[in-house]
Amino acid sequence: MSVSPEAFGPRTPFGRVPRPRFGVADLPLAMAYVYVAVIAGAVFILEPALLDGSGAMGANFSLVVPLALVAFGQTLAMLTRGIDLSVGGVISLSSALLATHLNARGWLLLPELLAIVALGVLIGCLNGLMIAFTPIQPFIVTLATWSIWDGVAFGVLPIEGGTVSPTLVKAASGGFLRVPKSVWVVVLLLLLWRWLRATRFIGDLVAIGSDESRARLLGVRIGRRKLQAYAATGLLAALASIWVTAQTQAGSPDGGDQFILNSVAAVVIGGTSIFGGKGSAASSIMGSIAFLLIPILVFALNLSSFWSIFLEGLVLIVAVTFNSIIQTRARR
Amino acid sequence: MIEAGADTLRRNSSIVLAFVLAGVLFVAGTIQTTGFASYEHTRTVLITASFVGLVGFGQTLCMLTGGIDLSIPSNLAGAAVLTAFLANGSSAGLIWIVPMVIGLGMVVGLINGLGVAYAGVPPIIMTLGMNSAIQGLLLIYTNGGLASAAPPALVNFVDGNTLGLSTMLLIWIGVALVATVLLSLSAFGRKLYAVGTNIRAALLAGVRVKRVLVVPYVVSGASAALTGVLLLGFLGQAFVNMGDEYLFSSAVAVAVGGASILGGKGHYIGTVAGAIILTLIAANLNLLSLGESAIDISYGVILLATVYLATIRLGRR
Amino acid sequence: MSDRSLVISGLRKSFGGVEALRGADLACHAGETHALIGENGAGKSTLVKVLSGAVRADGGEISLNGKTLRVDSPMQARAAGIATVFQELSLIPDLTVASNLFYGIEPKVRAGRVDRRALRRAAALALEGLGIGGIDVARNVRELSLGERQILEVCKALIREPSLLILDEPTSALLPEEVQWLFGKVREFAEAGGIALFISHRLEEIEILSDRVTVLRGGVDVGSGPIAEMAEARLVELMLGRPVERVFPAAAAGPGSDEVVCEITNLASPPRLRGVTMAIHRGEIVGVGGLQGQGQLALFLSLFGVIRSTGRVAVRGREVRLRHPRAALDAGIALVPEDRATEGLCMTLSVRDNISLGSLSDISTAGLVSQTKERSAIALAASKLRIIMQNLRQEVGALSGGNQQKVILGRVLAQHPALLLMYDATRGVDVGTKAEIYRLMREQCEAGTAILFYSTDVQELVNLADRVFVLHDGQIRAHLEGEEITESRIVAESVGGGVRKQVR
Repeated sequence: MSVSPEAFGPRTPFGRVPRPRFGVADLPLAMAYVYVAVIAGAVFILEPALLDGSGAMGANFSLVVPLALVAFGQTLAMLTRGIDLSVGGVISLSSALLATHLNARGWLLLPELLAIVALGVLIGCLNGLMIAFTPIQPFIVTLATWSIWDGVAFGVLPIEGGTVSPTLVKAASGGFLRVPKSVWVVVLLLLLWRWLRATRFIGDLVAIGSDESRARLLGVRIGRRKLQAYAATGLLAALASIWVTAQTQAGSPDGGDQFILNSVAAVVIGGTSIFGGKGSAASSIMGSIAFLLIPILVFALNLSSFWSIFLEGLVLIVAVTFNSIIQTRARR
Repeated sequence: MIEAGADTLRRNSSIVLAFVLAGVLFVAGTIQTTGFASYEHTRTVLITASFVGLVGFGQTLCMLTGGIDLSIPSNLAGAAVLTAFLANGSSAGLIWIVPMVIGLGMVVGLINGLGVAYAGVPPIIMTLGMNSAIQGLLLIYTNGGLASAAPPALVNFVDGNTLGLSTMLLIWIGVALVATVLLSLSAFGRKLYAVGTNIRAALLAGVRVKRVLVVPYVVSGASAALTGVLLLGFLGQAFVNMGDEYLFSSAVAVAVGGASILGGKGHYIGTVAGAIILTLIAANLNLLSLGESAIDISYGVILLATVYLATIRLGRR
Repeated sequence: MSDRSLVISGLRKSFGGVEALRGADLACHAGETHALIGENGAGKSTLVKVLSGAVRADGGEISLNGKTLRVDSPMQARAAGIATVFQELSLIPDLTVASNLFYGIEPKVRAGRVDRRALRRAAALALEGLGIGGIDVARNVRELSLGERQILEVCKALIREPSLLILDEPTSALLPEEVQWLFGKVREFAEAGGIALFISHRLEEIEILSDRVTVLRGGVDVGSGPIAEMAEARLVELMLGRPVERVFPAAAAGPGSDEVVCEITNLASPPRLRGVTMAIHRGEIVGVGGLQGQGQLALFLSLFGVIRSTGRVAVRGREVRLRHPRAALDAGIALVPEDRATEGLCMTLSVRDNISLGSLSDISTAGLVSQTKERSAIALAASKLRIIMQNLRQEVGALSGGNQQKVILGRVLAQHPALLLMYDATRGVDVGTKAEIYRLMREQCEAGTAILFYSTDVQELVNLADRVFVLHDGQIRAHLEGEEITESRIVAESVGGGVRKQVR
């Protein structure tokens, strides 16, 4: 006994009804903008002075810069289904070096800054080599290297302090063409992503995170791409450290540690999938802004600053739970 | 009989190697200072190791399922600070304070576990966020985290001896026994290893994998809280950062003890060896006048080395 | 006629201790479609992996168009003009149709950046040129059905204009008109001077499409020749290594039992399973057939409580809520999963641990495993199934494939299920073990267990099943009983009730 084909409904050439372009799975990437709008709105209502005026903006964006840099790099790692916890070590070590040995003045500072960036790239490459060519998971590799480089940082600069090059401090402050330099940096990062996202580099990273074994069949150079991704993360972390050290005018042997949670939170709030294959550094930058609004909100609510630490952890947990549920369902 | 024994040794070779390594480190220390092998010093080393070993219990379970618990530092500190505050110098309330504090640790662990098991959140992110959240709550509660003093009964308990052995060591032995029963003899242990090895296969075999996956985090919360209370007694005071060093040392102790980071392989006995190894390394480094910097670096290197070796052995099979 | 050919000689490849290829030879020429057939485990997929650069051969020589070839990576294969249609597909789920189609050969790349609009236009054009219409090239591959993906995988290979086109089981989810399209394209390709290598276990397709055929068995080629001169019986004989004999056990004598052991009403699990109703009786073997990807997996996973479903399922008269595999097992439904390594076994655990995993509550008291209860339960399973191993503590990953399958069966049967679900349980298993599994199935039936099994091998459906349900698009299209169960009938119902058009 058989049933005629017509009983099964209309057949498009490929037998399936087209689905809408924007589904639940795309929600996380849009949420960052919602978060920023909501939190900024709340802050503005409670204490407009915190966000109003160029002084406030400059100060706020100054904090966004390092986090945006690290979150950018963290996005690349997460696209491949990885994570980089060693950014904490990179930032601490770079900061320690900038406050001790690499604090020349004037033009002599330039090669030293390049050395810092090269160090970040080198550390990233070491991570990338281990992640790409051994079966050890990224979180273990970078957990270990975080400890190692934090340790070296402690050896270089046991206590917070040191002297930072005044040239550096001056270079990272103030404005350019009447716009705060910090805003320029963030805009540049956004443009960089716009340019990058159509490259084969990002395309390969997405392929690797989406389905690594199939990406291998396609001929993607998995080792090379992972190496590049983690090298980029190291580079961006080093840049973040240069900025932070210039702002605080002091070195810190464990100042990088906070950036680990912060960058992961920024990326998660931004909507990049922690399981790889989907994401955007621009959203992570928005996520950084949203994340940094939390302490401002706390201040506006007249709560003690300790509430920031609590809320930051809470926001990460809520955001990642929300995203995990959606993204696990989408991957099925 | 001998063959069965040799077979057991072969299967647990990584644990045996860990103990051998501990022995080697002990000898190395003795070479540098004869006082190293004295009863007093050995006792101190073992007691120091016991704290890592205790938090290592929960961490072992988490890593056996392919996860990790990064919220140990604030769970530990939270339990210690809370106990100190609630006791307020007197030992009277300890009888209900300690269980309550451990219970709170279990609640924190439960939230971690629910996120990991039911929402599918990667353990590292879940526990990282939880660490910050608990630390924040702690800071709010203590308004800045000043050190607070421990009730005397607790101090005496921890420092003292029971049945001729240091109380801490007795507790550690007790935990090791519980761990061994749980992992080697119980049905739950079988399910745990299965979930850590191949969660899909475990599910299709009828194991309630989500329920199983929650337990390690609850246990970790409890063991961190217990360690916090005991550490309060040991140090005589509690402060917000007292748990920080245990984050890394617990994970490394588990790895050094032969547990596979991919989950499914390992045992608490290995973690015991790992805790002793780490303590001996720190002791040796101290003898060489190398400070915290060297310890951090060496822990990181050791973690990488042991995990890499473990993966090579896995590949060889 | 130029020397356009693919010549493989003495190809060797081992994985661990297992020799997958032992000096295989193969020769195909331009303008011909060459079929490669063989049993599971004969080395076909390994050969494909070597040619496509996914694995490196241990020994032997490959020459393409007269030149010695070294394919150490997929990139080198591509550069040498080899395009592969992989059985497991090489599409990235989170990328669009266009991105996948032109991966690595994007039309306009400036400074490392891909022009996405040009990419989409080129993709739409390319698909149209190949005769495929109506597909939105901006959609993620994740949203495509298995059949659509298979077609996309073929298009992907064709647009790379290779000299050697390898197709590894490309038709398992395709409708007849889609298969016609594929055959047409392959013929066009061969006629234009390309070399086509077609791997399939469907002899009827081989007969229609290919000019020559090579048979692999045990990692070596055992016979080769023009398809016209190789009768089906001869081919099967070469594949099996002996004259065709009865591999299947005798059918059950007498009529089946009337007692309904499992009653399924409107079982649905959107989007793949859209509503199935059937009744399974005590001691009968029910087969499920149809093209791949028509909801069969969803049916089995629903019955075993792995995925959510609606509808009513009753076992032994009692309704059961299948929310979790544990609930299914407790109700008397057991599943032998599809993929041994990823779904069936915990490879690094011992045989003992794997077998007792499903019945831990039966062998434990107060949460602790009783060594005596466990030992007796397992010894029974091990001896009954004749599992070959060193001892119970041995790592199950060290066992042979067939014995591993038996360990799974041991675990599953320990619970004495009323209904045994078997999803493609004989895939990748050698002939000897297959026969044992068939014997076991018959044994279980005679003991009163009902079996519901899915197989892509139509012969199994014909020779084992008392009744067959053919699924299409998530619903039952045909229900065949007794005499109605024939290969041609099953195939006909799988593809739509019409007769397969002969193109030659």
